[in-house]
Amino acid sequence: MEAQESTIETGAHPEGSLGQIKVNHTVVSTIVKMAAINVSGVLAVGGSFVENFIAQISSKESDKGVRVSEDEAGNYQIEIRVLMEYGVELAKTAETLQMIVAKQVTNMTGKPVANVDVIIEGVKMAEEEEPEDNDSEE
Amino acid sequence: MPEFIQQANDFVGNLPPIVIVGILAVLLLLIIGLRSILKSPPSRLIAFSSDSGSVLVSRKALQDLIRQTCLKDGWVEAARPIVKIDGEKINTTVTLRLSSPENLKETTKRLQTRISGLLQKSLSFDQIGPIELMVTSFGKQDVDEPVVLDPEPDASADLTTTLSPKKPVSEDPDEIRKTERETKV
Repeated sequence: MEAQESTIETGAHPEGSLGQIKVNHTVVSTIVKMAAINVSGVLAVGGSFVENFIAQISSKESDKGVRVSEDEAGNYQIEIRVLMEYGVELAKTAETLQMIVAKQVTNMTGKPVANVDVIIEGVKMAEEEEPEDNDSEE
Repeated sequence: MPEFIQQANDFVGNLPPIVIVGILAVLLLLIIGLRSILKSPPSRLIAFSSDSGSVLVSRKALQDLIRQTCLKDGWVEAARPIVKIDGEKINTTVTLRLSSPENLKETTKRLQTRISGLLQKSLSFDQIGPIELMVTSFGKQDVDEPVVLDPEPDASADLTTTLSPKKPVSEDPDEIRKTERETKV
């Protein structure tokens, strides 16, 4: 069975005196998710129905909607699927998302991000506040 | 258990070769079909691409966007957009149900402009294909929120009647609708 490298060394000098620090890809995807949902205009992070189903089967709940890999140089390559709010400028929001995710991941892991691919999977209206139900059903 | 296997073996052995080949062919096609469904990436359009990554928009997102845009219009009761991605171009067909046949031309023109503008503004698409709008039906006006004509006496003269989403002055919406039809005729 093919063993997939799911961690990446952090820090500019991995040969430090105290040893290496490795960050699991699941951690990175969690960082990506948390950064993404704080971007204005992004409603949710998640893939299509089939992908979410497969993610659930493979017990990779935290990876749902986010794919993290690394290039030959060891930099992160991130793919994120999002649901955006109706009315926002999708292109601008996606660009902001790219920047924020890259910045956040670099800040928290110390490793550079090669690219962030954003896939807009859907557009939805932001949930409106439910009106108070004063009518009694009698 | 061995008896069962023996029976199965006999059954398969008695089948004519053409049937066995047929069953295998069907199984093969089923596997290929399932594999292509699961493997094929969903159709997406590249909105833009740069060194820091690319932004792709799925067909579903485009359909959601168009549907919401249509439903924002007061005269649209239902919208079913179909987006086909042909290379780097999108062809859009929207099936609409309007609340009333009045202002049909204006409504469809307005929707076309809005959809086109929104796609260009939101996604920077240079290659937006044709946007076809098909009005297939006119919805029944609900009694709770009817869409009626303003009772203007001169409206029938120039045939440019004004629609208003207000509640009717009269209490019987059926009567108002009947009057409208007569006025139009």
